[in-house]
Amino acid sequence: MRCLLVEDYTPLRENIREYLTTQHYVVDSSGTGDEGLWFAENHHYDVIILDIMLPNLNGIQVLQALRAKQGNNVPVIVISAKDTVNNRIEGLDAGADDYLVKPFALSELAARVRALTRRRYGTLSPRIEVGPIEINRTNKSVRRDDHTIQLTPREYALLEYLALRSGETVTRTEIWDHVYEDSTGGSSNNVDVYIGYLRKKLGDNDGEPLIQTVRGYGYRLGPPNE
Amino acid sequence: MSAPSIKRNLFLGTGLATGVLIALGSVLIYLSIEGLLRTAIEDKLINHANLIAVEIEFEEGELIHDWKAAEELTTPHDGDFYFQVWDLTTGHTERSHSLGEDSLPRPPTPKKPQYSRLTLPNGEPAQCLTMTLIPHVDEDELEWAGEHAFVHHPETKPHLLFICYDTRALDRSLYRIRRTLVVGGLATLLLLGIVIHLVIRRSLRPLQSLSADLSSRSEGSIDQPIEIPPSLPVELRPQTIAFNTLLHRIFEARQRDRDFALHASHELRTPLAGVQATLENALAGDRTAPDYRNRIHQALDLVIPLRDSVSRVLYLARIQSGETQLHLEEASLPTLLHETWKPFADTAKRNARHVILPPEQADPKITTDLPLLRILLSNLLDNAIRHSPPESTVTISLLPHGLRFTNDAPGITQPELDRAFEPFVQLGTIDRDPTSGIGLPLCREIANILRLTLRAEITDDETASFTLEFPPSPESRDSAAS
Repeated sequence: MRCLLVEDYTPLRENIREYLTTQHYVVDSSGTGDEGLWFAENHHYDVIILDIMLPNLNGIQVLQALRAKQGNNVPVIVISAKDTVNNRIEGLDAGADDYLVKPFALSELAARVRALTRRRYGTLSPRIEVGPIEINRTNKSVRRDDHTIQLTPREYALLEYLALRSGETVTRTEIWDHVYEDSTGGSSNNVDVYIGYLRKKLGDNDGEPLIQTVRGYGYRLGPPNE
Repeated sequence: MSAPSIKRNLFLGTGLATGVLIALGSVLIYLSIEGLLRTAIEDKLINHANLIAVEIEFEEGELIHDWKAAEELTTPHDGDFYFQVWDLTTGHTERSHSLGEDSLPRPPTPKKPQYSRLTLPNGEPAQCLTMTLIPHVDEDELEWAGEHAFVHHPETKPHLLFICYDTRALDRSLYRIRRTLVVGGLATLLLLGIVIHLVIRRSLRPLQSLSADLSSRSEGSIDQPIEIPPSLPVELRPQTIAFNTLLHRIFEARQRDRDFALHASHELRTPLAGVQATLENALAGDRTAPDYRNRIHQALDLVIPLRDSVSRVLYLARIQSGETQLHLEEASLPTLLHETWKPFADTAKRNARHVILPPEQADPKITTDLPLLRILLSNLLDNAIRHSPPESTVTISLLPHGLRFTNDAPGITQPELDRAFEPFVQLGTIDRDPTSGIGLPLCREIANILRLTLRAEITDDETASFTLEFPPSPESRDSAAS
C-alpha cells in the first residue's frame, strides 16, 4: 500500500512515516501543500494523509484541487490540530474521507488507514481470504491451511495488494507504484523476483498456483479457473 | 432601605401631584360656591334690612314699627329672618315675630353695615347683618307735619338693627357640596391612580421585555445584540443602542479570547502530536539502549520549544488579562541585551546565523521592569534567529533611546510584516514551526505595558527591521532642553 503524507511539522511527519513503514506501507512524504498536490496528482496512492495548516497551499485547497480532478477518488485522511465541529465539517465537505484531530495515537491513524483502504478495495473485513490463503491486515499475518507463513514486509505488502485486488489482473507498474518506495519507475525484474519469493512461501510451486501470470500484463491472485 | 423604583416613584409622584391638584381645585370650587351663596344671603339681608328700615317710621309725630303689622299676618317661624331693633336713645327693643320670646345678643353699634355669623337662640346657624338706621319720614308724614307745624328730628332717634338669616339650608347644601367634592376627588384620584398604574406598567413593559430577553439568553448567545423592535419607545432606544454597543465590545473581546484559545490549542496540538508520535514510535518495537536514548532526546527536543511556547501563551494571556504588576529597576540596556543573548548564542552558531551585538557598555541606562524586558528581548532575538535563513546576519544596533534589529536577508513583504504582531501569524515559510507565532504579539503586549514603542518595517534594502524605543529618561530630556 502506498501512502502520501503531507505534513509540515518535520518531527511529526518523520514519525508517522516511520510508523507506517513498520506497518508495511510505502510512504511518500512532503512538507508543503503545493508539493503534496504535485505528488497526489502524479502518482497512484492508496491513501493520502493530509495536514490542514500547510505552507504555500493549505490542506483544504489541496483537497479541493484533488477532488476537482475527474476520477481522483483516492481516500484522504485529514490530520489537523483544528478540533471544532466546524473545522471537521469544513474538512469533510472539502472531500476528506476521515478527519483525525492532533494529537493522535499512531496506531489509531494506522487503523483508519486500513479502514479506508479496505473500503477502497471493497473488502469491509480486516481479513482477506483468497482460496486457502487468509490475510489478517490488523496484525499483518498470513496463514495457509492453518499454518502461519512468515513474510518479509515487502512480500507482505505485495501479497496484501494482490489480495485486495484478487481476481483482477494487476500490472507490474501498478505493483511497483503501490509496493515500492521509489515510485519514479523501477525494474520489472524486481517485481518478478518478489513474486517468485512469494510463490515459494505460499507453496504455489507444490500444488495449484494462486498467483497467476498474465502474459504481457502482470499477475492475478486467485485460483486459475477464476 | 429598598432600592429606588421608577414605577413606585412615578406612581407616588404623579399620584401626589394629582391628589394635591384635585384637593386644591375642590377647595377653590367649594370656596367659590360658598362665597356665591353667602353673597346671595348678604344681598337678602341687606334687602330685608332696607325693607325694615323704611318701616320704622314716624306716624303723626309718633315713632312706630310698621313692620310688626306686616309680621302679625304671618305665622311664627314662617320666614328665615330673625331680627331685633334697639332704640339707641331709650334702649327700647323690638324683635321679630320669628324670635318669639328669645332675644338676639345686642351687637356693638357699627359705623357701617357689618356682616357676621352666630348661632340663633334656637340653635340654628345664621348669617347676620348689623346696621344703624334713622327712622323713616314718608311724604304723608311730611304733609301731616306741615299741616300741624311739627318738626321731625329722626336723627335724634337712631336705631340699631341686627338681622339674621337662618342658614340651616345653606349649611346643608354646603355640606352636600363638600361631600360631593371629597367623594368625587377621591374617586377621581382612585381612577387616575389606576390609569397612571396601567400607563406606567404599559410604558415599562418594553423594559421587562428587554430584561426577559437578556435573562433567557443561553451561554452561546449572551453577547448577541438586543433586537430593537419598531415598538420600542424612543426613550429606551439610546440606552438599548448603548447597551448593544457594549455587547458588541464584549462579543469582540470574547471572540478575541476564543480565537486566542483556538489558535493556542491549535499551535500546541501539533508539537504535542510530534512528542506523542516520537514516544509511540519508540515503544513500537524492541530497540537498543542508544536507540531509546536517541528517541527520548528527540522527544525532549520537541518538548523544550513546546514548553517555551506554553510559557509565551501563558504570559500573553496573563498580560492581556491585566494581571501583570510592574517592578521598576535601573539597568544598562547593552548589558541586559548581552545577558539575554547568551542562551541563544549556541543555537545561532549551530544554525549558522550570525548576530552582531552592540558593545557591552554602561549606557544608555533604562528604568523598567527588567524580567518583562528580558522576555521581550528574548522573543525578539528568538524571532530574529528563527526567521533568518542560514548564513544570514542579524545586526542589533544601539539607538539613543532603544535598539534596532535588522536582517540582511530580504524576503518578507510589508503586508506580511503588517500582520507580524497578530497572534499565531508566522513570518515567511522558512523553517515553519508550530511552536512559534506568539513571540511578536507577546513583545507588542510587553512593549505596551512598559510604554515602549515597537515597530516593524521594511528597510530600503527590502529587509525587515524591528525597532524598540524607550521613552527618554528625565535627565536626557533636561540635557536636550538645555
